[in-house]
Amino acid sequence: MPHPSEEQLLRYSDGELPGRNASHVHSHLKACWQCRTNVEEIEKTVGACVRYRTTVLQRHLPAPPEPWTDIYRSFAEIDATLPAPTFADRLKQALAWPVHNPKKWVPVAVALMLAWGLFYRYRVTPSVQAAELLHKAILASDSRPATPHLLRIRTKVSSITRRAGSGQALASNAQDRETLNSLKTLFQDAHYNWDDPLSARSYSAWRDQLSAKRDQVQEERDSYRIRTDAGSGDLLDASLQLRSQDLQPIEGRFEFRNTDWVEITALPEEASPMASALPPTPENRTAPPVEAAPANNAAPLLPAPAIGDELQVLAALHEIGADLGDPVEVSRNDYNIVVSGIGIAPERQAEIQKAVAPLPNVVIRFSESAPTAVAPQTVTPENPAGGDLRQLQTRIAEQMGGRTRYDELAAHVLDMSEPLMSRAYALRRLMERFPAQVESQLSPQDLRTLRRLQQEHTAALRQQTVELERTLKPALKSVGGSSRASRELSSDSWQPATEDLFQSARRVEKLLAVVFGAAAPDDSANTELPAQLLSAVTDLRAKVEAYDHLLAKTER
Amino acid sequence: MSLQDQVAQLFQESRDDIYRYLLSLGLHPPQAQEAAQEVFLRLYVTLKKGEDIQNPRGWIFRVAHNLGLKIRAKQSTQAPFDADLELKLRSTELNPEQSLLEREHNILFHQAVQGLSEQQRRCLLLRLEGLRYPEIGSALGISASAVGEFLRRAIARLKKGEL
Repeated sequence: MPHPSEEQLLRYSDGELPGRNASHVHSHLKACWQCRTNVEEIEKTVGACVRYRTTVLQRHLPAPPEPWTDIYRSFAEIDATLPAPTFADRLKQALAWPVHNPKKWVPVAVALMLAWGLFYRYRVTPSVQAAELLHKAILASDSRPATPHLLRIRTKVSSITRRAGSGQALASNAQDRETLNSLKTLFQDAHYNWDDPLSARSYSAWRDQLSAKRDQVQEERDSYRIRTDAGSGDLLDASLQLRSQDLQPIEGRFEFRNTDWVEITALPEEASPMASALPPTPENRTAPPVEAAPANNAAPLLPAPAIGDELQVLAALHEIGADLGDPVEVSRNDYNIVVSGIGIAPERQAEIQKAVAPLPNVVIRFSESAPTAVAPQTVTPENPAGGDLRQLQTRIAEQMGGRTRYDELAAHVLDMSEPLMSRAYALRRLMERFPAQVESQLSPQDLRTLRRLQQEHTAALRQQTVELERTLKPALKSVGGSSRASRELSSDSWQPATEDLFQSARRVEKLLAVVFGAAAPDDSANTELPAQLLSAVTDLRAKVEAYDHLLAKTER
Repeated sequence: MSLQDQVAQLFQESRDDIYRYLLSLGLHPPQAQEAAQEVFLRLYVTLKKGEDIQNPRGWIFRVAHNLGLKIRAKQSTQAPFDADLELKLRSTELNPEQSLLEREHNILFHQAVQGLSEQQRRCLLLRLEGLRYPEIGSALGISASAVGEFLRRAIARLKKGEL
């Protein structure tokens, strides 16, 4: 027998090796001085740990600040509350005037005050704040000498540089002129001043003529962002970003009813000669977007955000579960990390904003509508099962004691597959974002953050898979399902192993949908489906375990 | 022995261990003491409802771990508790019977424990409390084999630290 690994020796010492393996190691140790010495060294370190517990932790950690309470008294209180109250008791409690019991009315009053506070903060205060900020920004702009400034105007299809107050693009060509003319019409129809679109005065004038507007004011790292939902008109939604230091507008975004959008960014003056010298090539017109570029020509440009900064944003979103199914994307350009979301509820938007607010260089963009129409579902809503499959489902139902029980099981397992897949997708996104080459650029601290995210997703996936297996086994075994030996992960490197894990999860999802009637089967023989499903779940569970182990091994 | 007596006995035996584990998660002493007591009351309620708990000691550490993390998440703006053990280990007044060499050894070992990754340290602390690998895995939400790997790494790093 080859020498047992160090892990096997530790598990052997801890009595954690299964019987057969333990007896192999036991026999090996009798014969091998080297391994016996290794075990002695492990035991020596274990002894040092035990001494550390007694001489350091037990001795020097602070004692509890208060004497321990009499736990029997707490038991008595629990006993008094556990028996279910009668209906009469509950009615009496419900009708009792709560003022006699501050424990009841204080939380209600606090909740009402909080609700009012939130309403005031999000509905009333932002309008006042927006009006005040714009007013101050207009005064600040009036006090500055009027200097022409450059604007970069970006639309879905083009990117043009022009000077404020001028209708002409720098180094213009016919196509740019045409684009600017159509933009001018678009803005004029929306009653927005096109001559100076990136100014507090123009924004304020447009905003003032709206009858049913809703404002949001967001304080970012070095700026304020005012966003106004017009509710009607050609220009549905606009936002203006003002630099905190001097309230100078640095970026505006305008979303029109016809789904066009326009982003206008103030360019640093240093950029002007270069910008004007740029030939009107297609590359120039379709240059990557400048998202909230630091436009202050006096202030130094911030260093470009690194992959570690992006990871911090991903971790912050992970803390609030926004990496599990929310339509949120994170991308990085030369200036910022952009968190964009589509069709997210306002409350969730506020949570996301709060989560990433402490992080530098983050720009948030929420848009109301979905970008593309969802492809029509090809799955028929009715049970798509063929004759064999219907028979199979009937057999499962019979074994379970009726159709109702079967329907409950089907609904339950299909519900379980959704959070399971959201974990698999989350792991896969991390893999896509952090291929080995990118991962090698991470600092040790960032690497720990990445591992923590992976481990948390894996722990949840593991629990969900175990639960799914436990739920499915009794039902499927009764109709001939049996799990076969599972395969190992395809690689020792976590990136390919993630893809392998993901594909296993996808297979489970597909088979669940087929066996429980939410999708049409493929060509497989239906009689084999229970066995295939059980094997797929067992396979997934084994892979999650192996993946978990793999992550532990990659920790430094 | 009544159910109350069983839980009270476990409380008597394990409350300080749970309290110290909660300190290691960064809870401040008053919160840790309150949470430790809460854990035993939850055990009582669970047993009273008729649920079968095979290993109550493993169960209370699992519940303490989850409760501790939840409390820390709610108080994320507050710095985690730091007992500053190194300072205490250096003090001759607190360790009058120890030689300079013993004190140095304790400090080095403590630094090595602090140098472990979070998961390695948690696995080690729970193993020191007598939990088996599957129980540690259940508390931390990882597999038993991952626990084995974390412990192996922890022991390997501490072994280096001892030299």
